[in-house]
Amino acid sequence: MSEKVLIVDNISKRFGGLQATNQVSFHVNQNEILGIIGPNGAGKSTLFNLITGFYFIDSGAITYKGERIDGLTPDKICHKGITRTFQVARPFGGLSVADNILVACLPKSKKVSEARERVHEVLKIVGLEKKADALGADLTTLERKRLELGKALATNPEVLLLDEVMTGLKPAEMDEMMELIKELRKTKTIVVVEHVMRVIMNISDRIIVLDHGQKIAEGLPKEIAEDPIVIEAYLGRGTK
Amino acid sequence: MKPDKTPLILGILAVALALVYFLPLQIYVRHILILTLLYAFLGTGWNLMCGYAGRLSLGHSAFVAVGAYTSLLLFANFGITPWIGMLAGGVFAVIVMLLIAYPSFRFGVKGPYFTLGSIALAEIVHNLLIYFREYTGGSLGMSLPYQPTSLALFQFDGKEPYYIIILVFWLAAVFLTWKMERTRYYLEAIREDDDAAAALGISVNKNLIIAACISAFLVAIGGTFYVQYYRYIDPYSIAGFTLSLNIALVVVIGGSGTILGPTIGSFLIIPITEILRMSLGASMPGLHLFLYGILLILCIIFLPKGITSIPGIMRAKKAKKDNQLNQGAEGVL
Repeated sequence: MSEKVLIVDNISKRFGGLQATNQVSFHVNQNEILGIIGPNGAGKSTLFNLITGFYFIDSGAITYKGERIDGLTPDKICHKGITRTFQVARPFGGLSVADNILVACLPKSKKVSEARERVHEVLKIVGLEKKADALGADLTTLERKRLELGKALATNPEVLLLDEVMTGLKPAEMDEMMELIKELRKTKTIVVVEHVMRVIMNISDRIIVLDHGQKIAEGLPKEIAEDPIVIEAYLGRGTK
Repeated sequence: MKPDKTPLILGILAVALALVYFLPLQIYVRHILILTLLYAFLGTGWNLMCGYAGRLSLGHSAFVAVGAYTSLLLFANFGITPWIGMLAGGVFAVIVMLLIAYPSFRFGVKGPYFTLGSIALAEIVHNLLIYFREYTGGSLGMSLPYQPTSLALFQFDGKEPYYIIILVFWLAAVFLTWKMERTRYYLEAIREDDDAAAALGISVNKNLIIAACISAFLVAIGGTFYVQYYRYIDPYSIAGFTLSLNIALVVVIGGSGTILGPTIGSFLIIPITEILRMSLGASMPGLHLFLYGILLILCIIFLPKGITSIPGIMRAKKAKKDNQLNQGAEGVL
């Protein structure tokens, strides 16, 4: 249960004058939900981009199941078993919802027919069966979020990196999404970047907090909620 | 999931076109059919990279020219049969394609920049053909040394054998496109959003390069057919912008990124252009181009996704209508 699946060791990334990620270290245990929070621009999405190979790290190491994965391209990392979603959902707009899922099933299927058989199953998980023939571009925000999650699930990842899947959802929809994520954790390891506190406190086993590219806190949800450093990062220092 | 009707349609089309061979057609009609199938073949090759993967090239005449000149030069200078010259031309075209495609894809050149690059490539090939006049005949062009009918040398006195050959080429290209189902899906995903495709485990560069190479190879083979059929080529007609544009238009009008779009586009555009030119070319020169332009404008306005999108549009309209009816019924109840 407590095997460390993903280890991020002291990684840094600089974009010109901006230190987007500064010596960040953390690990994710098997079947755990790790929450990552932090104010806007704290480097949460950058962290995902670094782990999944969209950016290369300047220094440090990222290890997945005992194997270095920094320096690999995104498609290779996905093949290893780590899949991410994008903060702004990126459906393949010109393709139908079913084809979006099919494309995601394909890289890990031996035959196209094998992938095709899985499409319905994935559509059902994310509740998009009725939209199977709609174009990706014609979906509502909620549907796009669902499709984004569906595409990620279709790759059958062991580690799922979810980048703000709740943003733009109504409270009832959020509850639905939370149930789905809790269901998924039975078979997967999940890292969640999220802005909505109610969500992150509810679903995370552990939380790390980023601010200005640095990790400023790590702990159980309860500890994080009471941590003065975290409160300061979010609300600023009082004017005494 | 709807069953894939493509093999059925393709089979019927192929049999019908094969039967046309036996009809006692006028030479001119047969010429139009050969030309139509040639454009359908070139368009099918173009479609892989430019339709499915969305890397729009307006310089594919470069590869037609590479194919045509390679097989012609090998035949004229060394007596190598154009059948082998055709394969050599295909390989050479793939090499030329790799020179431009690898750096472009590696550094993410796409959209208008990629298109401009492709135009520049065709322009370079065009100018090289003129520059090396001792070998290529420069802008005067080059004739195919005449041989009596010989299958081994890819030369025939009548038009019928050319019809069969281009029919087989076309069928092979369309069949290949159909068989590449997985790659087609990957290319479509890459066209829509390459980062999102990579995040799902699709190797973006590898798939783009596969598409580009097959595209160049097929189009180069079309080049060899061109020179064997017309027996004469010059840089302007075979490496010029007009040919590149025509290949692209045929596909765009028919439906880019679909298996049969290039064929449908070709069967609409090429006969109309030829018939207009034949009937109006002498009496009112230029009018056929004017009408052709109007046709294009109408297609782009009303069918931006090509003729193959019509069934989809009809379905969407019907669904919308049904939806409204349902809502109306609910309102009454």
